[in-house]
Amino acid sequence: MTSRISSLFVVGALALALPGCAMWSGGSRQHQSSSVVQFLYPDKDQPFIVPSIPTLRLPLRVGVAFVPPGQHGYQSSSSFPEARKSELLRQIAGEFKALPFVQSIEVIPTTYLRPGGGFENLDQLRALMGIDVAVLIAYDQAQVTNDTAWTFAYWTIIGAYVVPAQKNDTHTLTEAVVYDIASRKLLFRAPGVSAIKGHATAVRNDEEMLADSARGFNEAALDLTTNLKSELELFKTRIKEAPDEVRIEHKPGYSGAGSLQGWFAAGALALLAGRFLRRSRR
Amino acid sequence: MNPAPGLRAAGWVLLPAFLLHLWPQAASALRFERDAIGAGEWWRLWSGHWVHFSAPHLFWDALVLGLAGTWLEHRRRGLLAWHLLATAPAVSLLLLGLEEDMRVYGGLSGLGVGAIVLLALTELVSDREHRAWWIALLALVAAKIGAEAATASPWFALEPGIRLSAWAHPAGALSGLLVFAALRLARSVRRTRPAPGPPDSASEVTVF
Repeated sequence: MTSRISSLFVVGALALALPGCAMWSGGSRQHQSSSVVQFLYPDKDQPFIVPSIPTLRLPLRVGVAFVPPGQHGYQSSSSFPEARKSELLRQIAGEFKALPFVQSIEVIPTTYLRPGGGFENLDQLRALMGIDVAVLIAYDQAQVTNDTAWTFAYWTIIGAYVVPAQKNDTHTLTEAVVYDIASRKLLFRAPGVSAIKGHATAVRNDEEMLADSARGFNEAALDLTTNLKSELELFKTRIKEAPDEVRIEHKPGYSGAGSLQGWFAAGALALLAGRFLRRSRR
Repeated sequence: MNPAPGLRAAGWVLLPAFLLHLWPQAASALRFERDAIGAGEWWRLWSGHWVHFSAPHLFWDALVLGLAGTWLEHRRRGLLAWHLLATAPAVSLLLLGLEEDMRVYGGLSGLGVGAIVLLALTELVSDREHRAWWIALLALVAAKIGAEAATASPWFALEPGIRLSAWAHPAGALSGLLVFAALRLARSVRRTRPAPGPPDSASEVTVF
């Protein structure tokens, strides 16, 4: 009889403990990325491409695209949905569209780029869409979830619902890399980063991780667009200081205009008004 | 000094620019286009200046030409019209020769700069008491042209795809100078001729 009671107690204890064990994951890691290097230099044996001095013929025609994810590190259940990618592409296109030396900007669908397509793929886009410069967007997101000391509360089952004992870290990097296609020259790059820390209950952890992932991509995208502006200004300064680095030409057949800016108009107005008032007083 | 007639004349000169800005289809038939001019559409040498690429572009150009034109017209009736008739094709021809890669051009700024130069030189010889004002106005034009040459950057453009013309303002200033020289020459020729009859009653304002 005593042994039967002992057996029941053990079975009951196991029944209570097992769900806790299932929730006590002990820590996990998720990773999703796309890489400009993997896209442009897919073959390790490929001889290194030596870029030549680029000649930018203004106004530029620019293409913006997401680098397709490689075979490694890609998750089909990506929390970086195509809609968000399109939104980011439009934001970046907007930054370039505002630049006076940019003639046009094309948002290139990801399907136009092959994984590991390299410069040959960019050459095809150049011929197909008539672009001079490609802005390639890549991303890398790592999410780590770890158990904290509070995970002992999972033994109570209720604890798994109410105690946020999972510690989550989400690190996101987005990167815009601007290449002159003809010369294979990297003109400049701009990063966007985000680091999100959070806690979640065992039951809601997956949901929280997905939310953190989406937030990470949003924050990194915003940071990227901000950095892109300053990197563009730095690039223009660099070209001015080191004109041998990049040659600037104008495409034949440009449109031109004179501009009488405000300071000139104000100066002329002040002088003529001053002279007019003197004459009127006499 | 009654600026009303001058204002009226400047208003008539600027009205087509505002209308063309509202009617882009007509603007495309009138703007300066190298190929079209080469094909015999010579009216574009004049009309091209009245086509603008944006509202701020039109505003500043119209303001300067309006100011200088009003004063020119007040100084001598018809002077603004003569200036525009002569300067518009002169600037266009200089641009055709000096900026060979420029396919399309627009804006009254070249004519505005020319009008300022013509006005300043005209007043400089007739309003000797206030020469400093007119020298300052010429200095302003020189500063504008100098600043454009010094800060010329291939990255700078007025609007997406529209470059700042390097020669529009120097060509305008040169045209204004040439118009002034031509009027002075005409005046001196008239003076050397014997008067056919009794002299006209002196006009209120005599410049040339």
